[in-house]
Amino acid sequence: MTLAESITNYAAGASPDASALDEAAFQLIYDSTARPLWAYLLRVSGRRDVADDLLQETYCRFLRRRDAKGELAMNEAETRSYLFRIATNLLRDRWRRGENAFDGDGDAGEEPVVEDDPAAKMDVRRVMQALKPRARQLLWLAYVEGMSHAEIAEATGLNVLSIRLLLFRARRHAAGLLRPDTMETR
Amino acid sequence: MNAMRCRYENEMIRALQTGAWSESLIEHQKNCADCRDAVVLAQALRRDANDVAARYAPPPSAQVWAAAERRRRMAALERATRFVFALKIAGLIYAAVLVLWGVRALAVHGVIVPGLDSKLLNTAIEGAGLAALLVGSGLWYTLRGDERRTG
Repeated sequence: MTLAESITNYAAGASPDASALDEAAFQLIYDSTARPLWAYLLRVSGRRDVADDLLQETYCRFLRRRDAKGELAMNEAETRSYLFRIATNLLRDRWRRGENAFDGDGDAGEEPVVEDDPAAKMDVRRVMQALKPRARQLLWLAYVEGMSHAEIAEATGLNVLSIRLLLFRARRHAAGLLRPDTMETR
Repeated sequence: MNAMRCRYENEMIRALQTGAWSESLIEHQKNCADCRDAVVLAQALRRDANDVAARYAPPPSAQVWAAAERRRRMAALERATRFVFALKIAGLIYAAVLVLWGVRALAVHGVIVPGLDSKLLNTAIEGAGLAALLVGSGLWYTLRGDERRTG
C-alpha cells in the first residue's frame, strides 16, 4: 500500500470495524513523517525532551481530528503540511507560556554532540540558537520543508506580507552567522 | 537586489525543494546576493535536518496510537460525566416545578395554606419555568464551549 492510498483509507475509515485499517494507515503516515517532524521540533525548540513531547502531542491532535468530523481527505503533501501546522501551533503555545527552550538551563534535554562532522552541525545549531524562535520556524519551513510564503502563513497564522519581511530578516541574520569570517570572530 | 521584493523568492524555494533550476533562476541567483545566501543557508539546514532525522529513532507508531486512543476515551468519559451532571441539574429543576405545580393544584382546592392563592402560584411556576429555560440554555452553551475546546 502506498502512502497516498493509506491516507485515503485513513480518511475513509470512520466506521468502527475499520479501526485496524486505520492503525495500519496511520503507521504509514507516521513512519514517513515522524523523523522530519522531530528534527523540526528539535531545531526550533532546542530540546530533545520538548521535541519528544510535542511529537506525540502533534500526532494525538492529528488523530483527534478523525473523531471530530472525519475530514482527513488529504493527499500526502497536505497531510505533512497539516502535521507541521499542528507542531507549529504547539511550539507557539509553549512560547506564549514563556517556555523558550533555548533560553532554558537544562543540559539533560539538550541534543547530544554527534560523532561525524560535529563542527558543521554545531554551526547550524549555534545559528539556530542565536535566532528568535519565530525566525527558526520560518527558515526551517521555507528551506527544509520547502513551503511557499502562503503555506508558511497558513502554518504560522501570520499574513503573507509579514512572512516575506520576517523571512528576509531571518535569512540575512542566519547567513551572516554562518559565514566563516563571522564564525571566526565569535 | 532586495530579496524582500525579489519576485523569484518563491520560485527559488521550490527549486531548492525539487532541484529543478530553470535557466532564468540560475542567472538570477548569480546576481542576487540574498538568493545566494538563501541557497547556502538551505543547504546547511537540509544537511543538518537529514542528519538529525537519520539519527532519531521515533517511538513505535502503536505507542502513539495507543496514547491517542487513551486520550480519546478520557475525553469521551469527561463528556459523558458532564452530560450526567447536566441531567442531574435539569432533574432538580423539573422536580421543583413539579412540586410547585402540585402545591398549586392542592391550593386551588384549599387543601394547603389558605393565603396561597392560585395566581401567586401561577407566577411562581412561570418563574420556575423561566429559570429552567435559562439554566438549561446556559448549561447547553457551557457544554458546547467545553466540547469545542477539548474536541
